[in-house]
Amino acid sequence: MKAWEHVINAAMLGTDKPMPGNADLPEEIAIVANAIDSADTLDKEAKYLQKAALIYNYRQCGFTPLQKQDLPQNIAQPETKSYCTETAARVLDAILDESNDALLELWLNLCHKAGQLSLPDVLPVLSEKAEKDKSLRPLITECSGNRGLWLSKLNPAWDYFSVLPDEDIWQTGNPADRAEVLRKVRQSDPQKALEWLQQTWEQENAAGKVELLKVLKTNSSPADLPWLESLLAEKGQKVKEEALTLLKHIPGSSIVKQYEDLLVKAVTLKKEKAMLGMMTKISIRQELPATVDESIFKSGIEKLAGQKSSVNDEGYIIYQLMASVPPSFWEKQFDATPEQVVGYFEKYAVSQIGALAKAVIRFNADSWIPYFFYKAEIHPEFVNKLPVQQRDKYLFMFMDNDAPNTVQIALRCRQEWGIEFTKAALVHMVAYPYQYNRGDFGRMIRLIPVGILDHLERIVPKDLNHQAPWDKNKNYLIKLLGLKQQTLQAFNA
Amino acid sequence: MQLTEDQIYALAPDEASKKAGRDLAGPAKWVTKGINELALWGECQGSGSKPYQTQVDLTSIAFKCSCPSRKFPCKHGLGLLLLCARQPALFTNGDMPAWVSDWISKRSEKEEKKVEKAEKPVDENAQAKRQQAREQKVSGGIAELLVWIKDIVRGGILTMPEKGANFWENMARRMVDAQAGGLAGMVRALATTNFWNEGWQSSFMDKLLQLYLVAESYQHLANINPLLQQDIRTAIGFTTNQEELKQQTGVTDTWLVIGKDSRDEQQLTVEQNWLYGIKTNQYALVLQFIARGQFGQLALSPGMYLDAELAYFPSAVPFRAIIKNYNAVRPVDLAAIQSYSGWQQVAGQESDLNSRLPFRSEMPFVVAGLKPVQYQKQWWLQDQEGGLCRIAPAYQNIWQLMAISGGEALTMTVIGKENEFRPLGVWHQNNYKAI
Repeated sequence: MKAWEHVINAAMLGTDKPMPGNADLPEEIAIVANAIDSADTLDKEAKYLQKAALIYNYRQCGFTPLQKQDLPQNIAQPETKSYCTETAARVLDAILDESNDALLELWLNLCHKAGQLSLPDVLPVLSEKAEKDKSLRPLITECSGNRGLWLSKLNPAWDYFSVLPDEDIWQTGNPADRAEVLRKVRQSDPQKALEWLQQTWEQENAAGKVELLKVLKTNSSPADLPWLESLLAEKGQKVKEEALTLLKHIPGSSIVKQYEDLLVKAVTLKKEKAMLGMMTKISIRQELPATVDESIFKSGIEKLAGQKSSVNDEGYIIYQLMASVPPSFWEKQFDATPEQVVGYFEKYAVSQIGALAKAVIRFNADSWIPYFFYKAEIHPEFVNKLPVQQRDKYLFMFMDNDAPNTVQIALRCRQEWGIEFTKAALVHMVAYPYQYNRGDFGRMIRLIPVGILDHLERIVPKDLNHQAPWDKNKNYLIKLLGLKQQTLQAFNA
Repeated sequence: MQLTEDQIYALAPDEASKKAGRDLAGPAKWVTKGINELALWGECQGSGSKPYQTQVDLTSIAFKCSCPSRKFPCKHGLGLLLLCARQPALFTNGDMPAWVSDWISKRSEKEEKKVEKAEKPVDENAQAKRQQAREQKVSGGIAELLVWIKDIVRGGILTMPEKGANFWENMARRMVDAQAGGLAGMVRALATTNFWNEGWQSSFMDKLLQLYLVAESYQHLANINPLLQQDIRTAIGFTTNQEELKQQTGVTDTWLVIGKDSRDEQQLTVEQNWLYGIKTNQYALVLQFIARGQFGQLALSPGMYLDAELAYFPSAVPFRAIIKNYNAVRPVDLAAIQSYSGWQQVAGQESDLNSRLPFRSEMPFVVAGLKPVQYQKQWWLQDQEGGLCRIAPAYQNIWQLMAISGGEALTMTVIGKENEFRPLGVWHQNNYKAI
């Protein structure tokens, strides 16, 4: 409004300076302004202020909204899924207030499985969560529906909702997104992922090649061998190393065969007749050939065990080799069943049993795991390979002798603990109130079953000094378990 | 009583109380519980040997609890209300125990006494003398203020950003000495101008001219109509006797609490509650001043419907009011809400209000068919005719508003002036939601 601009310009200059001419005013306002100008009793400041006040009110009374009828329509698509219940929405509010990501993930998972959506008003909070935590993005995208997608198009920070086809992301995405999409495809169609990478391989730079190769660790198989073997001739040292790392995980690769060839000579099962042929004396001979191909040591096998090691250098080399060949190798080498193989090592070369366990994990030889079940050493990698009941049983075996380590390993479990193991773990934790604090319980709530609520009161620390901190932790745990219970109930899970 | 969870949370004094209240909203925490048309009560097992006795007066939403908490309402009161909202079927007992009926009857006796309380005899001569002395003080202060304002416009406002805090504070203190607290506040508001903002000159001049209008008008009070006189006196800082106000017949209606805002002002929390009268189509602002460590008498939250009688402060544009009495009632259907059809109608109403009171504060409006839109990298509210008013840049819940709207038009309450407004709440699926 020009008259108001005139007021502002005059105010900036000050009435002491020559004033700009009078503003254009409609007749009825101009009459009042002229009357002010002609008042003899007013000084020039008073005249300015009164006219300015007049124009101020004229401006206020005359406001007209900006007219814009041609703005494009931008309306969210209707939802195809139903919204979650009010009860579930309330639980989500409580979880968000509590800032507990483990419970949020549980809620989102159940909501997604129920084919439902979160209510619209919570979408901005969820989108901000997903903005900060990539791992929550797929679930939040699923539970946000069309409204969430629509909202994300208005806010560039939430562009992770974009649903470009995988192949487009692979062709045009940034390095992180490309690696992510390759991982996704590798999970569902390993061969397709391999082909994608082969197609663009020549255009990738060295750092990109290394990162993308790492993705092939998922679902690696002998089908990858020809191409991976060819990469050993690559120029880039890091690319070659990464290819070699992958080859070490695939049975039948040249490097694994090289290790096997060496082990054929270095580790043998000796069966000798004793007691006049009435008994068989069994032993495992471990001895490297007089000359070992130096290329073995260039492939990552260390020569020296280190000063603090309990095995000698030779034993350590064999340990590394054993951890790098598929367990099935020993079936042939010893002409024995898996159970017998584990038994032989347990009995005659116990220092190498750990290497065998590592090989079981490395080559996904899950059928071998039960034969390690009653062995003295806990193998952390096994816990997520076992069915829940067996896993808890396995963990229980080590609780008496090594509770601190066992609980730490149990915290890596992917599935909820059983009640009995939870009780045992909590009994251990109450004795270390400063090691297992509120934050830890917040994170481990995903592992603690709701059923433990009935037992919590009976868990008491032996040391009275630990009572007060445990009480605080317990109350917090009860609160979180309450939310977990409500979440499960809200989705009838 | 029909409070939603959002409304109950809005009663909480802070975030911690909200969380704690939520934790107590489970049946296991309550040893006994009951409800009737007057009260809601329960005994909550806390850390002490005896359970805490928690009670809520449902007719006017007041709380009492035997816990030692200084917060008001305490977590027990909130937890009990939440539990009742979530699982009303658990509250089967309708017979008030003695500790509840005693409190409820004391409250109603107190109300009656307040009404009956005879006014103390007033020494009219002394009162007139005090009044005269004050008016002299105010006149003296205003004369100085006008000189100060003229000095500002004489020198030009370009140097205002360089003025130190003392420049504003000295004049504000002078106004306090002159017993013109309202003017002191207006001077302090000038100092809060964001001089870093482009276009600060316009908002600064708005405030300076309002101050000038009030100060200058006081010098011509006798020639101004009585209602506007009251507005000028109120703006300067003269108070209105609220007891006298309560004696007047008020406006009885079903009022919807459309918004609530709190700000801290020198040891006081000033709580603003905006109300809308469904049948009379009137708006009201109910202020509550809460000294630190004390409790407010009113416990209102947006979305609450009250059957209440409100007494407006005398004004050319009646807006500020006090609640004489109220009962919380069931929500009213959106169809019963009268609303402005668009910005043109709002502008018409604004012009009418400004013509009556040029230095008025911002007021709320219920406007139908508004949709939030983005235009030229700013957020706007567009009416059904295509008219746009800007959403105040300081408004923080734009994404929540967008999420609820999904690009569709909503009936909305907004507060602001001219072409800049901020949303207070929306009707979403027939429920009013503060936003």
